[in-house]
Amino acid sequence: MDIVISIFILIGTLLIGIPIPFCFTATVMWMVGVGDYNITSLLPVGYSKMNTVALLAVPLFIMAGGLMEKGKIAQPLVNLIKIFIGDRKSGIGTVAVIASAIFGSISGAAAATLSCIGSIILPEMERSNYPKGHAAALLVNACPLGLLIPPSCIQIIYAWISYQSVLNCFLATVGPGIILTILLCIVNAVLLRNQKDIVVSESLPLSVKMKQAGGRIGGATPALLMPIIILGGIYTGVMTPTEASGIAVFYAIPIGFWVYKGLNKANFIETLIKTAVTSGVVMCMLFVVMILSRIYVMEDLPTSILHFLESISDNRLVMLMMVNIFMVLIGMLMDDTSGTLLCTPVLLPVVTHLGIHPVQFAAILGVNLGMGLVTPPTAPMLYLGARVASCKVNKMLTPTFYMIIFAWIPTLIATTYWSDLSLFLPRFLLGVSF
Amino acid sequence: MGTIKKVLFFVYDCLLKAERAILIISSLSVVAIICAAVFMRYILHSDLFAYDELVMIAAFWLYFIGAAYGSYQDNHIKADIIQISLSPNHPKASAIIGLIARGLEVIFAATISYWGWSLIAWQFKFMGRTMGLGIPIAVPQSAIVIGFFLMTLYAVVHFVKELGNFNKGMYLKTTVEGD
Repeated sequence: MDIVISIFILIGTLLIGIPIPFCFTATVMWMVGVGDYNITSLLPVGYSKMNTVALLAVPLFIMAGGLMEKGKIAQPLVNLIKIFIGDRKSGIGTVAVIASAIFGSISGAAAATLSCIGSIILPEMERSNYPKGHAAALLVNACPLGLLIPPSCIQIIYAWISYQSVLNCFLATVGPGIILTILLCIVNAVLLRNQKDIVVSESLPLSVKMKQAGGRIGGATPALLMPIIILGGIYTGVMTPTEASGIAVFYAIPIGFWVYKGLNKANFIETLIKTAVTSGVVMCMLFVVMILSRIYVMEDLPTSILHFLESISDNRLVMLMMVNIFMVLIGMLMDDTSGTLLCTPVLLPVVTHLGIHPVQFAAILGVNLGMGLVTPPTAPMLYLGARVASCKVNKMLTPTFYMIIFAWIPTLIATTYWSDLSLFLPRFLLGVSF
Repeated sequence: MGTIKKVLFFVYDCLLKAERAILIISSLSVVAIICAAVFMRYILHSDLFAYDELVMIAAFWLYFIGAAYGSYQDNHIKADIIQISLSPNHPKASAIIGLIARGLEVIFAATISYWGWSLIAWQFKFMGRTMGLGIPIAVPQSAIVIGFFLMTLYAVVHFVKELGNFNKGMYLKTTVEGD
């Protein structure tokens, strides 16, 4: 009963608009008040959990993403992709989705992807007569690809909480990320099929396109080298994810200052402060959630959830569906990081009992929380997208729901019920056996 | 009274400047230490002794002063669905809920600051040190306490500001983005 009340306190404080770290604090206060817990023995849990170099990859990737965003590295990427598919009706939309996926592999965060790619591609979509709501919704739905295409901050946090290899978790989300990219491109093309007034660029023969691409690839190379350095460094075993994230920041500084010339002294300092605040907000939340999750684990909440699910159905598929619905609801209420922090310790024992490998759960969690970012009512990316595109949220809702139904949900179902989608790459590239 | 107010504003401004300086220095220190460790390991084939202890000190100050500055900017993640949905038709009800949320935020922030203080008091009493460089553990843990105290301060500031606006009838309209 105490746990049920604590969950109501968490949801109640969330809904009235208290910052998330303090919602968790309120829940901890309740549990400490009613349970036999000594806070002086719980606080060092938060400290010792955070006192690890592995976790530094999160603020460093946030910093690298912020510097790359300010460094204006996305424009050459967009120009390069546009050569090949810009001459179709759905071309610019497809460019937006693919550019979000590639930029996601550079920044590892949805918000940075949305504001960076959005600021470049939205004017082009407007020139091509894309409906404003559709254009904004497409970008909003594509930006969580940053959570699925590695490196991803939430996968680092998940791996750290669940004691899994970061490399395995990074690879687990690639398959779902590619499927989501393809489905979003298809949904975009289908939704635009009856739009008569869309302007497309002149169709050129492949040889001419290749020539143009040759001319532009030089400009895009320093940007494209970023994921190669990061992921190449990690997967060849040369660097740990934390070291790779440090090198990513080190690489982003000269690229932003002298190659793409987007950085200057003033915006460099502002970016450092902004990314430090973002990291601080995430890490402060992590400190409190670690204390709460320790209490929940001591209260054996995962077993209670399992018993509850078994009381409804003993069918594994139905139980997995209920776990997914729970995570989507969490994703609708919280941001991706707090959702990961809360769901991992509570749900991992449950899904493991249902035969899901923790590495596959990394992918399931990533897709669920990515979907939560764009699903109303909370949908932080939907509101950010509305701001970036200067578009009313209600104009974005219909295309967003189409994308959720025909792109996100099929991806989620595939990730949940087809284990090879997430486990194949770690098995194939790292030789691990699950 | 005017002089006290001026002094308080001066201290408040200095505090913000100090926070910004800490954020810049700690961010650059983290990057520099990690890159130096990579450089020494792969280029010079030697280890940077106990670099993890140094980098974690910078990291804790980055995390918690970052969170405190986020409180100052009111940038912490929220899901204020009730306020947003009430705002267009019932701005006063929305403002009252906002005020309650601010008040509760002060209570929760003050509680966790007090808990943090008990943690650091224990550290000062027993003076635990890191294994490699013998740095007092209180150095990184102080960041937690100072961070939460600053968050409490900014929560109070936001509460007082919002209360003032409420009393003047200036309800802060939290409309849905884009609408």
